[in-house]
Amino acid sequence: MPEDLVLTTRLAVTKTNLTLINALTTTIRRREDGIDDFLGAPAQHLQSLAKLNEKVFKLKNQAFEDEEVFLKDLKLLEEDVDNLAMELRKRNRQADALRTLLFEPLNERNDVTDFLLTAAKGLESQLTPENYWKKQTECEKLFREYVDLLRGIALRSARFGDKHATIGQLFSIADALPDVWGRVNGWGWHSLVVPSRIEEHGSTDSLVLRVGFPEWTVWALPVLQHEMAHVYRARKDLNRGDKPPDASLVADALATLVTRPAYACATLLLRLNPSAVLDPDSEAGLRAATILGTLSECSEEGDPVHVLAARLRREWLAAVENAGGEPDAQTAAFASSKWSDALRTAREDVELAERGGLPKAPVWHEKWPTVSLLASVLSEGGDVKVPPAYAGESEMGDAQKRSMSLLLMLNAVWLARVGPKPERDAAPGDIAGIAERAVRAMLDHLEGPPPRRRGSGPTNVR
Amino acid sequence: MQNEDLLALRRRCVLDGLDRAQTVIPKVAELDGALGERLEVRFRQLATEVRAGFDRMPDPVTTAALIRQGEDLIGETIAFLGGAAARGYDLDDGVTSLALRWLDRLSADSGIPKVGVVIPAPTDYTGMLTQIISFKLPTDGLWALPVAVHEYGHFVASGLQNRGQAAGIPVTVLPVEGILSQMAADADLPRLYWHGHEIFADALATAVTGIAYTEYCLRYRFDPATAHEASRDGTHPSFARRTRIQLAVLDDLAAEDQHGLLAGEVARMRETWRRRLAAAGQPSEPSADALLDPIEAEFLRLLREHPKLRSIRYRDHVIARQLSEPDRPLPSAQPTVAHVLNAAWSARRLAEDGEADDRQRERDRERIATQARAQVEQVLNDA
Repeated sequence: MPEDLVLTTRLAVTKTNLTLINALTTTIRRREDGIDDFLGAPAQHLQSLAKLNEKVFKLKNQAFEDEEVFLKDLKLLEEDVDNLAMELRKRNRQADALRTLLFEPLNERNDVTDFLLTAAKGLESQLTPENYWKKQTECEKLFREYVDLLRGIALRSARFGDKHATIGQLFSIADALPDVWGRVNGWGWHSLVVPSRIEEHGSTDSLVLRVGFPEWTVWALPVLQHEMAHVYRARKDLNRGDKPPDASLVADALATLVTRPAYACATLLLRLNPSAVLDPDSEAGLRAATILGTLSECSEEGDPVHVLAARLRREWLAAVENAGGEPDAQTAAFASSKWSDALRTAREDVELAERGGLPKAPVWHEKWPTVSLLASVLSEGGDVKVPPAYAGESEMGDAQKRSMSLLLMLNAVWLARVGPKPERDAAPGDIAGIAERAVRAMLDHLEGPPPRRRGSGPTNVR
Repeated sequence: MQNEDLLALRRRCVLDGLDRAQTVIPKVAELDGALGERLEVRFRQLATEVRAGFDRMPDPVTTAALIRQGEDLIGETIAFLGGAAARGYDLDDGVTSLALRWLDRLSADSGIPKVGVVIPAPTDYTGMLTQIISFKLPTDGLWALPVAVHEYGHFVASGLQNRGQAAGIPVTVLPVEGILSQMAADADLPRLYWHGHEIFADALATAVTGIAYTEYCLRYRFDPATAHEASRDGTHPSFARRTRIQLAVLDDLAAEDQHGLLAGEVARMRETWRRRLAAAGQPSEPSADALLDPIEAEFLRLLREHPKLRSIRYRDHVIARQLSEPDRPLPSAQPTVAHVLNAAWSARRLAEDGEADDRQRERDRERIATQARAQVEQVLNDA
């Protein structure tokens, strides 16, 4: 079977995850190392204090005997006290970090608690013996959300992960990504992304975005935009009219417009199932057509993004064939008006869309050189910094700019892995390093001062 | 009057003229210190050559040639004096000073000798004797700056040397002249010589400045309605041919651009030119020319392979594109003047794309040119 990019990417991800599972003991130990170390701190400090007490006792006796020795010992005591203070400050910082890791996600993300509380209270007050069976499904859905949320938060807080980043750290990057959508009809994203076994489209009801297990890596983070696009689409009521375009395709067009090649790479190379492309109306085929069509339509011929879109199209078609799908069905999907209708709907709405007579130049077109340079540095093994967000857009809030910066980095990391031309692809042995450096840069970026948020919008969905 | 007497009178006249010119040139320093000094050395050397030639009591044919040389030298001197005055009174808004500094930088980077001076003049022109580059006024400001490199190309064509051996004897070859002479017989001159030099100068300007030269030519100079006509005086090939060599050089540069950013810009320029030609009812390609067609490929090869020309070749277009971003996030490599000019064109295109109001476009253009000019000066100062 000829090798294709989709297959090689998924094989690499699967192998990495299997390695992760094989190294479970190490992972658990790593998780415990940090906490053990921290939890042992009070005992260590008590011992240090006991030693200081002994010294003070000795000094009291020396005070009237030998002034010179007394002063010398007093100086040493002062140094010991300074060292202990320094150690305590360090521990204090660790405690802050641990507190953030363990408790921040839920405290800061009011939408979740508000939704759960509001929904639970509402159901509780409405529930009667007469309507129990009618309300049962609604209750179960809420319980599922609740359990998923708790499980996700527990996972995020558990400090699992690899030696470079914990799951919690990775998901803290994910939390910041939806901000790129800005405020939607007065509402802004204040919710949470949690790890789960399988990503579910229904997740947007509770404003908890889920990322499925095989993709708890930097490579899959752009996929999250599909879920957020559903939220955006629903809030903007984009699927109105007699014959609205398919909601999922509109979400794909929106996510591609906002996230660009990183979304296309992540979704095509990690998510969509090429073997499911069996007829022109199959979901996978139409979604691939929407993503690739959007990417291609919104870049100029000859531009690197346009060249990359053409390459991804070839790679996807090869993957469909290799996986036992129907390449002719995919070709028919590429020609379908379903995706172009979805793109039209999305494009008319999204302010970031390129061309189409918009008054402002598109951010992506201007920032692509930076993305390309970042990708080069990542490929060459250099350390990078997340670039500042586009300063020209006065409408952008701080959180939106920060998120935009992260998306630039996600594009750079994918571009370092998959270039417009195959000869520029990263060698398999370099991929982990590229991801590691990019994650480190994104975490550094998030450690800066928190963005100023504009006033919170309504916190419940319905 | 005998022919010899006429020659003697003209000889006397030329020698007097050279003496007067030699007295006047140092006074240019009053207008522009650096300029007077730069030309005086070159002028004294050329005038000495003419005088020494006359001192050797040459035959009438050589005497006539020396007289022509002396008259050309005086003619270029007069043009220089006018240009120096214009420059001294800032008639050119400082553009020629900027151009001179840029060309000096290119010479320093490539090891090609420096040009004499760059002065404002009614037309773009390179005086090969004094090595004076004339820069057309009124100027289009910063946008026209790449034209200086086109004129520099004429100078390079005559000055670029390859050292080699022929039958074991060391020889010096002028590669551009070599390409031209091997392509045609004497009967094809002077058209081949004129057009060949223009094509090379266009190719070099593009190879050094990237899209900045072609953007300027297509927007400001090349009229699609007369795209297939040679210039009225016959010295310049058609705009269509000149555009073709520039686009071919840009294709070469795009192929070397590992970030793939140039390819799209070149495709867009090619398409825009094609559309403008079609709108003017003109064919999209120049007609075949057995003399000039092969020269283009040879010049492309020379630009790709000659070490001195490679050293000033435009590269790393990503730096230019990043310069045109509203905020530069990374400490990129040190930009060149060509990067700044390409960045200015990128910024200008972006501003134009989203703006229908002509007055606003004009304001944007001015703003971008002002910023770019400051950056060019900064780059030259840093260098």
